[in-house]
Amino acid sequence: MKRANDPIFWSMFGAGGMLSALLGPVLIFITGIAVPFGFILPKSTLSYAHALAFAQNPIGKLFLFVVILLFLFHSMHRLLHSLHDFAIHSPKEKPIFYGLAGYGTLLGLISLLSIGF
Amino acid sequence: MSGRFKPAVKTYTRPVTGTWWKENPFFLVYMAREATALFVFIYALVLLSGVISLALGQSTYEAWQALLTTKTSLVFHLVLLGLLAYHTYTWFKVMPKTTPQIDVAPQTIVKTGVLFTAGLSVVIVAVLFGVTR
Amino acid sequence: MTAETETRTIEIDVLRYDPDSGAPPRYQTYKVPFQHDTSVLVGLQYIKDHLDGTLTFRWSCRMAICGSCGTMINGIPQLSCHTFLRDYWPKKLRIDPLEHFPIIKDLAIDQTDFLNKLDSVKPYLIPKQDKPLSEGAYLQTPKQMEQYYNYSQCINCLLCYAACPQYGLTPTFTGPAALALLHRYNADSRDVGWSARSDVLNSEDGVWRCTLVGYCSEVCPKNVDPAHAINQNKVNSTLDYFGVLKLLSTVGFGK
Ligand code: SF4
Ligand code: FES
Repeated sequence: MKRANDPIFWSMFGAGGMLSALLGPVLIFITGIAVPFGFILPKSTLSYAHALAFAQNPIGKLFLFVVILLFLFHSMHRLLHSLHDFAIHSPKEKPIFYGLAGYGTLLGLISLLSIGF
Repeated sequence: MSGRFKPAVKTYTRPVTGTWWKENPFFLVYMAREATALFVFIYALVLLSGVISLALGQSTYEAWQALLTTKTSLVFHLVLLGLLAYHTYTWFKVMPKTTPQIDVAPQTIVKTGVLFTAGLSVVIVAVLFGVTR
Repeated sequence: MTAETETRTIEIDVLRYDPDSGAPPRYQTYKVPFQHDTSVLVGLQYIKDHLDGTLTFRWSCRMAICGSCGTMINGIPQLSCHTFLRDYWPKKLRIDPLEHFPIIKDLAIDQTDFLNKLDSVKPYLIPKQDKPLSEGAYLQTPKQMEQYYNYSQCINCLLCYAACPQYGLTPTFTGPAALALLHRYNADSRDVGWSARSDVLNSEDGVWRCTLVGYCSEVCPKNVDPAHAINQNKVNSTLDYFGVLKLLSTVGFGK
């Protein structure tokens, strides 16, 4: 019987599910509601200078990378299984879905690295 | 699966289609839970686009920021917030099925998870509020 | 006449399939008199005895323990001996053979696929070493028994397979009851069969076909909770994949 490689993707699905459950709502609140409209938090919270400083800080950089990586792999894993739920199966599905997550992660990584330290 | 038991010679197999979930409310709730992934994905793209625009320089980043101050963006994020909160709830809802055999009631896990998330969110916003004063 | 002894009549649509004619299944409607304590199974027996002797269905114990009378009642997998006509009257009732299984005749389905899967999980104790009877029993604490007790309550009724969309979509999936029984033995302190069963558990058709729909646990008449058995083993399978299980056992954790 062929051993599944699911443990790799399921781990990322699980970690991403947990991270998005814990932080998804508050991140959306901060970046999409509070800061842009100066509600509770000042608009300057995410000004260019502040955002740059956050992304240059090693911990801030790592945080952004991990969030993008895990949110992407969590959602792509689940959407891949939804495809099956709609009775759509294809041998190309794994490369496409996980490839897309990987491509997004790579874009994020390159951007974060080019921002510098 | 093949094995030492041989199937009946003549049988009728009913087809399974991609619409099985429409007939049972239990399955509809399941599909709603799975659909939250779409919104986690969308928010990942929002963040990713922010990081990319930040890397491209100040003017691109500020254009990205300007997009976020539109009314459309506000409505979009409010909806997204609700859907991600639903994701949080469903995530802790199924968590008891993944834990080992323990003596904790499933509802306790769900409640603790949701309350912890709420508390954590308040703390994060409060800390940000403090450092931006 | 009290409500308990009053006789009412309910219409039941039953899916009929005749392998001899080979024609696609169709519904046939029967009018069945019933009382407060008439189960759906007894309703089916009334049809067979008084209305139509050609109707085929399985049953044995009439008391929710043999596991042979599972059917889809209004689309929900249930034991027909454990479901009552009074709860559906005055509406009609629809009875189908268990979902996802090939139909042999009328409500009788072919369980061969499950039997082979059950076989594949080695559903028996694999002890470290065989002990002669003279050395006495394998001892176990109540706490150790708790680890597997509910999984050992399965009566192989297959309601969970009829409830599992993943089994319907991918019939090679080992499925709820067989995986729950796989875990039932793995979780037993007297058993050391993890590696003998891990091929099945770790494969794509093992725990990894499950998407935690959870309906199996919902319909199970014996509270086996197959969804819990399967999903805690996604963690175990992952630990095994990354070599953590081995590591844990060399430092003395686990069995
Ligand atoms: S796990 Fe429950 S539903 Fe499934 S076969 Fe066993 S007793 Fe029936
Ligand atoms: S007849 Fe035995 S379980 Fe229903």
